This record gives sequence, C-alpha cells and structure tokens, in this order.
Amino acid sequence: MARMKFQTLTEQMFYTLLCLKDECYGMDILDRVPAMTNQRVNVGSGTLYTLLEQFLDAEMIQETKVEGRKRSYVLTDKGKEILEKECIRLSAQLKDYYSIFGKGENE
Amino acid sequence: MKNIKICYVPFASHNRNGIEKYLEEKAREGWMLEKLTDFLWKFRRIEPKKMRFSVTYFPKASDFDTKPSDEQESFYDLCEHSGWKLVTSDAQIQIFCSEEENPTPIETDAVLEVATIHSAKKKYLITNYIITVLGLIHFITYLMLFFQNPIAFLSKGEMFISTFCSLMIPTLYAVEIGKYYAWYKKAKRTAELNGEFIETKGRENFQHITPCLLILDVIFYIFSTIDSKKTIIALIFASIAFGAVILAVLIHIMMKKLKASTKLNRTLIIVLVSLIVSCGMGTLIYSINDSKSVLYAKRDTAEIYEYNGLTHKTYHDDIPLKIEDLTETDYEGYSYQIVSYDKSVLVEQIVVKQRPRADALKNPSLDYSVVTPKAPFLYNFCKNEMFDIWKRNYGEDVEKCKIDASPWKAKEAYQVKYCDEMTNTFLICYENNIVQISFEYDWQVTAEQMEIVAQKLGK
Repeated sequence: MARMKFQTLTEQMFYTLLCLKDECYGMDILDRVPAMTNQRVNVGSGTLYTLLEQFLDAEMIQETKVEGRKRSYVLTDKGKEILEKECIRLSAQLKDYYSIFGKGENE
Repeated sequence: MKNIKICYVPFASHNRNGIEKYLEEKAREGWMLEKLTDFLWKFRRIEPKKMRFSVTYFPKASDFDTKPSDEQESFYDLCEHSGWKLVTSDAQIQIFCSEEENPTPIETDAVLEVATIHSAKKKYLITNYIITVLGLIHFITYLMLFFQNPIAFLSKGEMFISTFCSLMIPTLYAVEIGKYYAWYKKAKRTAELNGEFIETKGRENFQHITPCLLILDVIFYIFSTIDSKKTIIALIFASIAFGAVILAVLIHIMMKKLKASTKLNRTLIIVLVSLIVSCGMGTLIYSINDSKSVLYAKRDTAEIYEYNGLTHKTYHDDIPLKIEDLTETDYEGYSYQIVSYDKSVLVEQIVVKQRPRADALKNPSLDYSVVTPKAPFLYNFCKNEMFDIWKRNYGEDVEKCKIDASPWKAKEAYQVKYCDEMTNTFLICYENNIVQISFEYDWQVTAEQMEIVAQKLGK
C-alpha cells in the first residue's frame, strides 16, 4: 500500500523529503520549502503533519529527536531511494520534453 | 452590555467551509469564538475585525481526551509557526485563526485533506450507525405492536409519539450519513482528478433535532399518562438518563482539571455511567414489580385468597356497568376489575371484567370493552378491528351477524357466531363509541338490559 502510494510524489511530498536530507524540525520544513522554491510551493502545517506521519509509517523518514513537542526527522535509505526514483522519473520526463521541443526554447 | 454570547450552531461536523465563513462573519460583527461543543458555541465580545479562520481535523483526538496529546501539541506548534493560532478544539475538530492577510492555508493538499476529514468523520459516524440501527429496531418493535393490537396501540399516546420519534431519529441520522458520503465521494474524486477541495455546503445538521425529539417524546409521554404512576416512572426514567449525561460531563470536567489520561477518563466515564444507569434502571424495574413499593404498577388488589391451592385476587375498581345494574343478585363476592384503561388523542379504551370468586363460579360473569375513537375517520377502523381481533384469536370460524340495533339503542349491532353457533358476545356501535360485551353463555339478554347497557356504556 505504502509503496503504491509513493510511486510518484506530489511537489509537496518531493520538497518535504528534499528538506530532510539533513536532520531538521517540522517547522524548518515549513520555512525551507517556500525559500527553496522561491515561494512557488508552500506546504500547509496540517498537510506537513499528515505527510510526516505517512512518511514515518512508510519508513521513508525516521524521528531523530523528540524534545517535548519538538520533533526532528531525517531521510532513511528507503526515503532516499524513493526520492531518487522520482528524480530519475522527472529527469526522464524532462529529457523527453527536450527531445521534442529542444533545450534552447525554454531558456 | 453582554460580553458573552452562547449560540446554537447547527453545522455538520465536516462542514469546514461553513464553520469558517460563519466564524469570520462573527469576528467582523465583534464576536470571537471561545469554546465549542456538539451543540453550543460560546463567543466573547471583541473589537470587530477581519480575521481568517481555519477548521481542521485531528483524527487521533477523542471525545474522552482531557488534554491535547503531545502529537496534537506538535501539530499546534506547526500551525502557530505558519501564523495560525489555536482558538479552541472539540475532540477531532480544531479551530485556528489568523490575523495575517494571506497566511499559508493549514491544508494545502486536497487529497490529504479529504482523507483526514474522512478518518475523523469515520469515528464520529460510528454513533450514527449505532443510533440508526437501534432506532430502526425500536421502530420495527412498535410496528409489530401496532399490527398485533392496533386499538390498544393507538389508545396509548406514549406509544404513538414514540413510534414517530423512533422513525424520525434513524431517518435523520441516515440522511446525515447519506449527505456526508455524497460529499465525500465527490470530494475524493475531484481532489484526485484536479487537486481541488470541494466546499462542504449547507449549514443544517438534522441530527441536532434528535434531542428535541427525545424531549418531545418524554413530555408527550408524561402528559399522556398524567395522573397515573407511569408519569412518576417516566420522570424517574428521564432523570436517570439526564443524570447519566450530567455525570459524564462532570467527570470529564474533573478529569480535565486533574489532567488525567484519556484512557482513565474513558474508563471512568463508561464504568460510572453504566453503573449509575444499571443501578437506577434496576431499582426502578424492581420498584415497579414490588407490590410494597409506591411505584407498584399493578392495581392494588383488594383481597388475595386461596382456593384449591391457587391464589386468586378480588378487585374493587369502579366500573361503569355492573351485573347488579342489569339483574338482581344477592351474591356479594364479585371482583370488579378494570383490566386496562388507556386514553390518547386518537382513541380511548377501557377493558373491564366482573367475575365471581373462584369458589362461587355458578354466579354469572360479565366482560366488556368500550372503545371511543376521538376522530370520525377512526370509527370504522376501530369497529373492524374489534371484530378482527376475535378472528385473529379464534380463527376463521368466527362470524359477525347483524342483529336489530333498536333494542340496544344503537346505530348497528352484531352478534358473534362461533362454529355456526350464536354466542352471547355482542358488538354494539353507538354514535360515538363501540362496545363489545360478553354475557354468561346462558344469560338471556332482555330488551330492558340492552337499554341499561346503552345508558351506562353507550355514547
């Protein structure tokens, strides 16, 4: 079920996982995603909470520290693998696009 | 000037858009939400201002929570970090507000949001399913009682209104379930297809009529049974139910103050409420059946005697027609019993028995029942039903034969034939009521006696 669920990632999933390459708190993710995407992608706090729970269940991330209410997480090998697969998929898509329209047009 | 306002707000629990819009409007009017429960919302006066509200759901929360769990607190922290301050929460519903112009919404993924709402709502719907099923069982039981003896059923006002309530309650709950699933199906599909969240529409929450129906049921029951012990029993019953609710609320408040765990709170509420309800109901049922109790539901027997090793009872009820009114007798040991007397807005029925003591059975007995339909359209229904009851009891061998109604001073009169033999049972239809009377088999009813019956029972 979990594997099926994360076969492709939404933008919010993708950037959340990306932030977790290094250990960080949930709150950091809320700030980093818009900063990383030039405000193009925003993750809502409720959505982030649900995503973190689902990633934990799917063992894509793990909890590193629990300081009272503050929790930090980091990507697991499985999470890295899924992120990498998604990256390959996106790259392939991009490659296909360029092969049709050429690379220069978008630049 | 009032600074606190308590409102009844009938929103379905999943109607997040409805609640948000309502709260934003209230803040503009100068009222800020302070607390919410299933039925009542408490507002505090503030400077009117433009605020954004966000209603979200925390599926892991429960009605028995005495304080937010650590996970819930972490969720609040995340929300606060994005500019959303918790206003209040009730079980799974969490309400936040923000004074920022355009804060990042708490939910930014429609698929996840619909799934979160659904997992919160699923918990909530369990109660709906239980109440729907119980209500339907209740309704079917009433329906069976109606078909067994419609006149007895219609003459009991409390039954009539309880049937109505027992049909309305599951219907309302089923409508709520249906409405929710219609929204959920559509919302899930739309979210998956184009990532949009379909607004939850409508303010009404029909389920909230349920308590009103139950109160109506109790009030009607009390009024329909007034001046009988049933009223006291109904009041005690209602007090036990009400007391149980109050007790649950008090325990919850106390546990919240003591910051007890959800598990302890849940256990304590369930154990104590079940204990109070079962003790209360047990005592009530025992009192109804205990002849020494003031609540003893059965009529006081005037005398209990033994004959041939069996116990018999002699009643001294005030009955409208006695054998002594019809014929001379020097026997004084009769039992005069009103077997039942019921009166509703639709039908009034009295069932009477006059019997000699078991040691003097050579004296005649008399049985009759008088049915008074309160509405003209029920007259023929009651008449046919009074005959059909015999058919149900004695089979197809029962026939009614029309006889001359004039000596009975009635509109119509019938004599009952059983296995081709005339019995001494009559069905007499007066202008406003119907009398069914059975004389002793060898009693030759005279015209004078028929007239007395008309005077005493006919209306």
